[in-house]
Amino acid sequence: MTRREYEDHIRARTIRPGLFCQQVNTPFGAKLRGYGHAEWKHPWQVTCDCALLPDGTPQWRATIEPGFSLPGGDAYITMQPDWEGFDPGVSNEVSIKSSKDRVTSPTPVPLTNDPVPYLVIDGWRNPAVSTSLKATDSGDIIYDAAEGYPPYFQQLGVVPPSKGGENGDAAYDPSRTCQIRAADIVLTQPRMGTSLDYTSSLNLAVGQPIQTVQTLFSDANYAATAGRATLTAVGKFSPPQAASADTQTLFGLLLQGNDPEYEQWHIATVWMVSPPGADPASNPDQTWTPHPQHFVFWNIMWATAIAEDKTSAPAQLSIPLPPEDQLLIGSAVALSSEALSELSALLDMGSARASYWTL
Amino acid sequence: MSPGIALLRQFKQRARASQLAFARNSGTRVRSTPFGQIVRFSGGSANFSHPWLPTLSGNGCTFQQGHVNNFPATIKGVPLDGDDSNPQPILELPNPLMLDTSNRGFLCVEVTCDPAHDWSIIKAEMVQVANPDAEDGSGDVYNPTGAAKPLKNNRARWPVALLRQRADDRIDIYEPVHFDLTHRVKFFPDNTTPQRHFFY
Repeated sequence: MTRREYEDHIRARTIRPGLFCQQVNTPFGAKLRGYGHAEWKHPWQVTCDCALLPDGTPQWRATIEPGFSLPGGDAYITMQPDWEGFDPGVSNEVSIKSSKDRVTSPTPVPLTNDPVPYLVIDGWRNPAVSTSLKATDSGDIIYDAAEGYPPYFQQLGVVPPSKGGENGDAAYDPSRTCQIRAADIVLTQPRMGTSLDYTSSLNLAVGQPIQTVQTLFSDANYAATAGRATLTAVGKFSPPQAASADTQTLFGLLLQGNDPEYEQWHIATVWMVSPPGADPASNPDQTWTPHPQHFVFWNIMWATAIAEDKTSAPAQLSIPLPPEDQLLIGSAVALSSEALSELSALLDMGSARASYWTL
Repeated sequence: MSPGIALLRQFKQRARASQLAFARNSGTRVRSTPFGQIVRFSGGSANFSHPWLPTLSGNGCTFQQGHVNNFPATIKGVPLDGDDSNPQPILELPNPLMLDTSNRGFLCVEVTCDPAHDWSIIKAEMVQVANPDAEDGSGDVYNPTGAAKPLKNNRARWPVALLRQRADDRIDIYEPVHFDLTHRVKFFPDNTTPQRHFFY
């Protein structure tokens, strides 16, 4: 063996500690010590991977560590009928129900299921380009600044975000040619909702109108969804509309109410970074790298702002007048009484918006 | 000693020092490259021994000690980690388990409050139920307002573990709660009838 070969031999035998490995060299051999622990996966932790469909199309999937929304239990993901976990040959609690009848419609699957479900992420937004614009009085089109992304991605060579103005595209920087896309993972929790019931009647004895307003409680959406908290992937998360308790002042609109009977909470954002020089119009494929950003790290407990109070009676709004005056001004009072009742209802209407806390 | 022999001895020493004299066993992986051998170990799961940590054993379950409002939870009056007179108690699980239609059950802490003393907790027992908000603990969970529903005799339950029974009757356990709990009661306008129990 020549000296060169000996050196190559030694180099090839050199120990390089890898993952979870500590090395202590001694003249008699290297001591290797395994240390530490696997990365702790917190509730709602997102792990992304790219699967290739039979036709070769890449599909990004997010697997989520079991998270709980209490009261209730673990969250669910709606899986399509062709999911392998629905196979009657697979032993799990979901297939118990599907063993006799083949699953033919999207079905919610709990995160604690075995096999675990996954979210298909197929709707991406581009945070580096402007998505909104406005026209000035002079007819010019002005683009708003792009949403942007965390500063961490600048180090990875992601294209600079658009600052808006006359051009909504991302700024050009030859040293930063990686594309970026994003999708949000949202938890939807059904809950009780509220609306107002408004009735108007006439007291024939005195010709005085009586308006009755009461808060109605509805659990229709909760019952329809069995109270399951559901995870979905959306292009961009927007909080659900609150019940109309803001500035509506037209008759009737105050009482329409648009309580969606659910809450949505932003769990995580999945950022995807392309290799350098990717086509600005491309979508994430197997060459892209996922970077999940989490906003919730613990299990969730939630409660609505109010609960149904079965002891309260409907509010009756009327203006008491002497009997001899009732007929005379009853009709005139009706209009203002109706406005008063709407205002009172607006002030007294309970919002069932839910809040969550983590533990 | 000639310089060549001394150099050869140095080489041999380096070769011995770099020799991987260990047996590859489970959890150890070695990857050989022209530039060295990369050794990796499979990391174990982190040891997170937290309050309420359940451990299934046979037909029962033991817990790490947990508290509600600093009141220690118990199993038949014995603290979860035992005391001077009693070993660590075991919660005997019913056979069959109380499960809902999704083959899911809960291990809960059931608190009993004393209205005469600001609804402070006087008892915290571990139980296994399918629906924490039902008096008998059966049925599916139905709670559209959140928090915990009040039960008779000034009681309330909060789940600290979730059980899932698989098709092969194997039971998997999950822990939604990792820390001691704080409890308070929300009343109806009469200030005497509990409306909801909050655990946080």
